[in-house]
Amino acid sequence: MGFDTIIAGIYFVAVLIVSGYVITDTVNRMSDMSYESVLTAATMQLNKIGSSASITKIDARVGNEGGVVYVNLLNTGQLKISSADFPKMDILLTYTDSDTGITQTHWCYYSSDGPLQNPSCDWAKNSTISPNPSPSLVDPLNWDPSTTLSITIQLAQSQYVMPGSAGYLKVVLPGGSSTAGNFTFTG
Amino acid sequence: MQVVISTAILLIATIIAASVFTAAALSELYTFQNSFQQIGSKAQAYYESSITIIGEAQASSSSGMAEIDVWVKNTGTTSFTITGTASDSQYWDVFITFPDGTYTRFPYSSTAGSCGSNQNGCFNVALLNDITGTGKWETGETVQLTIITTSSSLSSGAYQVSLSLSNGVTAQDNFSFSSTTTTTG
Repeated sequence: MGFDTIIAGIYFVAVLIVSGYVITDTVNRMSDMSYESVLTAATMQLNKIGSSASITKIDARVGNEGGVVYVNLLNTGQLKISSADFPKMDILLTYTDSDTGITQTHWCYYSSDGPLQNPSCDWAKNSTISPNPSPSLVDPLNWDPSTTLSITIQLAQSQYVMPGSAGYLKVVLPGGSSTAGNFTFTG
Repeated sequence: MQVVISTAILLIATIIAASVFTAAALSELYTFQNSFQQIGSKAQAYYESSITIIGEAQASSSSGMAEIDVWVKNTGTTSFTITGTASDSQYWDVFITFPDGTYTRFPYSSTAGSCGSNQNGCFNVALLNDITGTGKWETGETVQLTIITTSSSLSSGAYQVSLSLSNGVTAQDNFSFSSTTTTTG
């Protein structure tokens, strides 16, 4: 076996090692990306499937300050919704005014300081109920499974509504699952 | 002596040729790696994107054209730029299927409440709850699409709205209107 054969052999092995490294590295990176993607997609689906709520009470009234809707929401899912995620909840309020026949739909803004901060419709935790969410034996700030969150939805005075007006409320949780209910404004 | 020189020349030529081949092959391998990484990144962005249409309502714009308001929630982990010249929303596709079976694609307009010179309708986007204050449409945040149609009123019946984002993620929803006048706010 000559010197040139040894050099050729060493060269061949070196090329194989480098090529193998590059290909293995590519496959590793692809695997990592796929793993992360699948994990994220699964987490997103779990957040959607594992979180659910139902409306247990709707009390809608028309007062001097405009329409107010008091809602009790029961966390019927398996995941807690942290107080930091309350702004990620969507409240869609639709009502047909009994006087004018005009139907209005509002996407209500979350107000951490209590209604009313925005021009048409706000929602906030009901500050007159304590503890809220209830019961709150553990983790009092967050909305745990099997506990009830009481919220107040405040329509601005400019949003004309009369007693007897029929409404529809849709609540969308941060993960995308939703619950809805019908109500009628009382005087 | 002559044989040794010839062998040395051949050996050097072989080493040079092998080096050139190796450089070319490795370059191609790295190109291959980059391509796969790009494919992986795009697939990752696609799988981590998710949007949900949470509601629709009928409204009237100041121009007198009927509007359809659509609220869409970002239920994925990918964020989207919705304002400025680099906005993703200019690449979105919004389709409405009307009760008579016809459907229309509405182009993006950056001017709120107006389609500008576009006579075929358009849609505007507004971020409603910018929780992080970044101006981007991020996880859990909701945008309101205001679709300005070319009609002064919308007929009652069944509609379908479809939104496709710039990375191909799509959401669609069926809804219907009654004949009553409606507004949104």
